[in-house]
Amino acid sequence: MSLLEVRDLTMQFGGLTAVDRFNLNLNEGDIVGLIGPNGAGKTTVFNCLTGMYAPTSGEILLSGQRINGLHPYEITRLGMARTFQNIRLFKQLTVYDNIRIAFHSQSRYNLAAAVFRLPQYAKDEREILEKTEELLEIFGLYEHRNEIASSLPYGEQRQLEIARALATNPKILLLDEPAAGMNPQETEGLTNLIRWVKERFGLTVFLIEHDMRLVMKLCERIVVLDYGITIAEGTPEEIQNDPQVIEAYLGEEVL
Amino acid sequence: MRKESILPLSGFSLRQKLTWLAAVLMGLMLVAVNVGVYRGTVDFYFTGVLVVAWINVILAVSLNLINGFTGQFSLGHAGFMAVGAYVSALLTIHLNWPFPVVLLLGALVAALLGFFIGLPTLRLRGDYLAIATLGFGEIVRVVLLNLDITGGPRGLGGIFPKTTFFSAEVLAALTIIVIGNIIRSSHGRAFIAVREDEIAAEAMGIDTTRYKVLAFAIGAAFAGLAGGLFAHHQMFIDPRSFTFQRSIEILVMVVLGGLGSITGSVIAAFVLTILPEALRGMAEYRMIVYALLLIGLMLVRPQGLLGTKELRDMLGIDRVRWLKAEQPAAGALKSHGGDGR
Amino acid sequence: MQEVIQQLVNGISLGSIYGLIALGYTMVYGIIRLINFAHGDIYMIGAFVGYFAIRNFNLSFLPALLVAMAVCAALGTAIERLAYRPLRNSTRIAALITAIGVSFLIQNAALLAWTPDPRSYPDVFPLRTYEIGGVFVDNRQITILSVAVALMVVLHYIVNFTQIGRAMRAVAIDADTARLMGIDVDRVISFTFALGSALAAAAGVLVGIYYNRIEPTMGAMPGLKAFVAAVLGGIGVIPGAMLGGLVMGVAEVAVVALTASTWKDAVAFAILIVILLVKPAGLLGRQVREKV
Repeated sequence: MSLLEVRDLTMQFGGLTAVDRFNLNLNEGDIVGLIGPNGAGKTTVFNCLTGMYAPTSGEILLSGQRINGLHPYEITRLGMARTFQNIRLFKQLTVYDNIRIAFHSQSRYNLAAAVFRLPQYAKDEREILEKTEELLEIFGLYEHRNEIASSLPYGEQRQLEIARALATNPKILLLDEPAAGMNPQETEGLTNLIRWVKERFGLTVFLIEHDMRLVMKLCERIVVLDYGITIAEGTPEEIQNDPQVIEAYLGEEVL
Repeated sequence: MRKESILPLSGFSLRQKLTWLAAVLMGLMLVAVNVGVYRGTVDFYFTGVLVVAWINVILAVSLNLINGFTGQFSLGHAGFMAVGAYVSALLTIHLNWPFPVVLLLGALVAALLGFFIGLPTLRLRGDYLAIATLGFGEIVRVVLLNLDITGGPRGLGGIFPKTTFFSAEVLAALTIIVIGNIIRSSHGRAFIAVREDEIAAEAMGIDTTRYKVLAFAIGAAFAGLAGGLFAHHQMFIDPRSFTFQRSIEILVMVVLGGLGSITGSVIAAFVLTILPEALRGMAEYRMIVYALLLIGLMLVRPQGLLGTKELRDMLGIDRVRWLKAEQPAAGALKSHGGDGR
Repeated sequence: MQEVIQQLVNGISLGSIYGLIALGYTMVYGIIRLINFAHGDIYMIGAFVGYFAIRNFNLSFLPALLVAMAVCAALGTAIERLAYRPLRNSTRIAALITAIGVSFLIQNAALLAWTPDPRSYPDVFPLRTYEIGGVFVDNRQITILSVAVALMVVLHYIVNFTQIGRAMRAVAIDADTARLMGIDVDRVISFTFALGSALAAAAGVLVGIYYNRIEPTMGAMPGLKAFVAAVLGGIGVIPGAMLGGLVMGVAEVAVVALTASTWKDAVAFAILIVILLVKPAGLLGRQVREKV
């Protein structure tokens, strides 16, 4: 059984079909890319998978469980976390609190335990604290822990967003254009980081990216979307040589 | 392992030292007032003003949970207060149940109402929610005007004066502790996440609807409690005590103190209760002063006096170190390498 | 049946007043996404200006109406410039709190200046009642309806067929792009406030004449109800405000006829909560989706 299975996912806005019968199979440990020209419906796919939109039709199965129509928070708790194309950090909060918030669903104590400061509260809070510091160290953000998220440089905001997604303890990580706005060195660093994080946390990664170097280097499989329709799927080599993809999207200059 | 004390006793800035001084002075003043009231040397009228101040503390802190920490915008706090006031007053008048019981029941009914109001209306955002809660407050008022049991426009009289300075003080302290403890927990961080970015909060596994409703229910419960204290202090209530104007007065306290600062709400509640008494000759200008205060604050300092700062932040008490210090042996203090901190 | 028609006539008279006030809310909200809480108080000021114009300066109805409209247009623009414009880039809640502050300021200043006591409006028209098939219509109702319709026609013309109207529509859709296209956004916003405030002032004078009674706190309730009317019709939609106003007026009159008049203030808010839950975009509004 695959970890994530998407069958004929379709999303319509009024008369516009943004995504048309999208299919996907993610197995444990996969790292798959989703590419396509602007407006091809990539982020819409993400929004459907994570419950931000309720798909018009089709099926999304996470570990065999049907998840369409669930709330985003439920899907996150089932083990699928995401980042956002335009970075959605808690901008006014510290780096520290950004991560701590994401450990929310892993604290077991209830409201009464918080009010009366029961032992469970101290135990869970200490655990969250340790895990937060661990994540901050891994991402090299520990020195910045007391800074306000929006004051971080762009690249570190992206990293913080990934760290925050990891704090929800996901099985699948969806990255929406993680390299957007990064220079080649930063992209290189990010490529290594994603690969390393994937191994370290035993993740399955599904990512949207425009930066072809990152996609070709990182992904084992690539899905190409154009006008909501899947026009190709295969290994980086297959995609690079697919005439339909070249015509629709890549053009000559990239290759 | 580096030694981490809770307080950086050597490293206080001048500002922190002054805050400590102010906090200690205020603490002493509080003790003096308590002793004075206990011995009966504080005059009756001023004791009454202090009771109202404590009631306002409860109202402001609980509204801050909704408007400040959770980022929702309620203009209906007087409605919840009214429900608590009427429920507890009626129980006292007709059944003469013990004071703590009627207060609790008043708070409970207000919380239930907060829950049921919250459930559907919280799908609304920002200004729409403000208007819907305003509407709710007005509906409560109109219902109170039209029911027989509430005495309609004549109101309810003959409520036994059971609220004392000490009961108001203890319950205000309780409010501060309960809401403060909630805020400094994973649940509290969920409220704040909802305020900061609802979509990101959902993506982090936070049930935003649940927390919005929860904020409303908890806020309403404490408003109901304040209403009960108010009724048993005034001995008479009528729908005019709980108008939109009342909601705005509470809002001014929260905004002045800082949306998201409990300390700010407490200070603002005291200042805005005692100051008008001190300037009693200017009673008719009070609402004008409030209005100018609101406008001026938004133009000059929209975050309020304290922003989201709390007393312990200003005193330089580090929460994280505190938490670590609670259990120094368990390896929570792992070394973070020589990264020059 | 006659009774129903009679109530309908009364409801439409009341509703067209709500509609006039609602237009100001809807235009301002459409253009800067602010609930202008002070709008109801501008309506109150309009009623008082008309009152003084008629009583102290012996103006007749139409000149008094125009004076009230002009004064309130100036007041509306002044409020926008002093209180709202500096907050254009801050949070919407900050702007909303400011608007509440302005509303309280005007209302309490009026209470100080004019005392809380109600005043009876000077008689501009001797009341004349006509009977048409058992339904009574008086000349005041006819005045209200004709003034309201005339103002709406003028507004419709301004918004749809003039350059400034086109600019208003552009700013409502996207202020930044409108600015890039060379539209003076500040001027358009000022104009919108002037227009909305003038309509509110007209409503104030009409109410004074209809109910023959004004007081400094008169703006609060109709202000809120007109806002509800604007939401009901679809906020930002100009014909919606009118429709919402009429529905509100008729509903309120119906409730008063069927139950006790003390319930009438709850009607508006009950309608509001229902509409927000069932169709938050309003009767004529369009649903917008937040982009993720």
